[in-house]
Amino acid sequence: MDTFVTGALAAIQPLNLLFCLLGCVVGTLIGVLPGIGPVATISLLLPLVVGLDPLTSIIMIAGIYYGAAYGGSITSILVNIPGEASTVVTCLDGYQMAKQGRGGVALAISAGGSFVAGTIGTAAIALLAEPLMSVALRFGPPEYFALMVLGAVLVSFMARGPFVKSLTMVMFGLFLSLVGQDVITGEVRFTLDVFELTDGIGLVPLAMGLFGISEVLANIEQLRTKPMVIEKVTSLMPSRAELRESAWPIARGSVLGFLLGLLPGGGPTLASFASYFLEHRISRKPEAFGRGALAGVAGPEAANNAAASGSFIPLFVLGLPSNAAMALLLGAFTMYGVIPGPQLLSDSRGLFWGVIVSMYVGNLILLVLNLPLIGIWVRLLRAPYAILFPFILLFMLIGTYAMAKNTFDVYLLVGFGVIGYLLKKADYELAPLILAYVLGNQMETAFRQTLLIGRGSFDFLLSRPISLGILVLTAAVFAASMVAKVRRSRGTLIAHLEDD
Amino acid sequence: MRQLDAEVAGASAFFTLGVLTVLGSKQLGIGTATQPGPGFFSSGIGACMALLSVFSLVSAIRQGTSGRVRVTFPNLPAIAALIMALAGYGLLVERAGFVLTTLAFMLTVQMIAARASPGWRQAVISVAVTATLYLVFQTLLRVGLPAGGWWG
Repeated sequence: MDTFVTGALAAIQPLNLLFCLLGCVVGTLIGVLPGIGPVATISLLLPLVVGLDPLTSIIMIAGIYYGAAYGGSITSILVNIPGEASTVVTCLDGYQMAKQGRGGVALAISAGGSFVAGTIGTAAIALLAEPLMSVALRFGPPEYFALMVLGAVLVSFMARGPFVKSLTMVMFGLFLSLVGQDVITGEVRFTLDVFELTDGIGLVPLAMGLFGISEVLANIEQLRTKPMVIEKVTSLMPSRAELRESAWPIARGSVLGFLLGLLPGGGPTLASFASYFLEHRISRKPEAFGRGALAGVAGPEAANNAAASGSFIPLFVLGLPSNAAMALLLGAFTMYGVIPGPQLLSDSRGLFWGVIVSMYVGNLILLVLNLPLIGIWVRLLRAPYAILFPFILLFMLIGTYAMAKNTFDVYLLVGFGVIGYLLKKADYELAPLILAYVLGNQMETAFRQTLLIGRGSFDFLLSRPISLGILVLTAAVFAASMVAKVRRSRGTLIAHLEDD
Repeated sequence: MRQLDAEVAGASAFFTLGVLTVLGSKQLGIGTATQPGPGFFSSGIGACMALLSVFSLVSAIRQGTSGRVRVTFPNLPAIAALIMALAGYGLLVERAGFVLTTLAFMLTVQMIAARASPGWRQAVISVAVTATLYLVFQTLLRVGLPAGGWWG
């Protein structure tokens, strides 16, 4: 209790509040600019926060992470361009609502839902982190490996496209993570004798290329016809009926998002898609989805924020980043010599509680800040796309160059942009790829350690209750996807027979 | 407009990559289950990738041509030009420096968007964007933008 109070008091120090506010504003601003997500923003700002106190620095990074999630929703709703991957699904109904003159309501529900979800998520972290850390102390390489396999399979199962295609993307992501030096033997792998690839493929060019550049390329196809900005944002105040309509989707999205955020491989993107499909499946009016259904905005928006909170748990408890932004946060922790994992609570208790309290403060700041500032964000977005997109491209080009100070990463960025564009066209989901990439190296290490401990036998993996339980769950997800596929095939066959 | 069978093209590409990964892993040394080599894990990844793409291909063939994803590339010249401009930025930024390269990039990209030669308005926008980015990255974030090797 004492350390909680100490952490809470540290979090509400004026300097920390100021940096929390700064992080939220910068995060929202960058989130509003399509194509630049939290990963790019955190990467860019990471060198600047190094000089700060560890708590202040991590509070600011967490603020950027949340802010970018809020900001991404604004562009999704108003211009049909997701600010980042986790708000892709918000475009489907948010943009339709804006076209119907209900953009203000969509934005208000999105902000309110995000705040409720963030509050639930933060409270859940405070309650669950400590007991989960004691469980995490029993985790060894087999459990870590099984958990990462579950994450990869779940992210494929939840993806929009066919399961097999999503699994292919997982394999592609794992392959990309293996390029460079082998952690155990030091052997250089799959670099095609390109020296710059010795350290592996950078997260920033990969993520920005796949999500940012490919998005711009896809938008260029319809540059002349697509309206880019909604001219008028109507009243932000939802009616009583709209509040009632969104209450349950927000509640369901918060719980689902938090739970999916806990999974390695989970996170805001997966949570927002899962929530959308859930709302669509249980809705009494499924035909309204894609045409401006409020539940299609409220659920995913709550889910992505709750998942953003939930994804702090694997990082704090296991030292495992569940997504790219968390991987960067892990980098920030290690820069200060703080190693997240089961020992975090005993070694850096004050820092842990300080970050938790600041997360709640950040959510509050975002709610207070976001609605009154919507006018400014809209004005920013009113710039013609012909001006906006070169600006966005330049941000990505310079951001990538600045990280590595070499042009090779710029070529990688462009290359992955083209690959992302082609994959999207061929209906391959990109989220499983990026998550597999983030987990790849840890997964390989855990796999090889498991084999070494088990003297070449996988029985070891099955003889431990936690890893066995996780693998059974993974098999259940596989079985569920197969059953769904068989049902779909049978339905198609029956339809064909009836036609004949 | 020419259409591409995305299912067949995608599955073939991943099958090839999977097979190449297995072959590359073999060269690295797969090792044994008790002594896994640097190619052990990657060989499994390659094999899975190849196997999954065979599933995709078979499933696409069974579906018939009507159920497959077919893609078209509208506005292909603009997309190709934009990709060239992006790669050109990487090629020139260290040689010509940030300011010149950014100005040229802004003008080119606006030209691609408008499908017309740049006028004074585009020139003003290019200068403004270049100046803003210089202020943000060089002055505010202290990123250290390249000055250009051509000038000394």
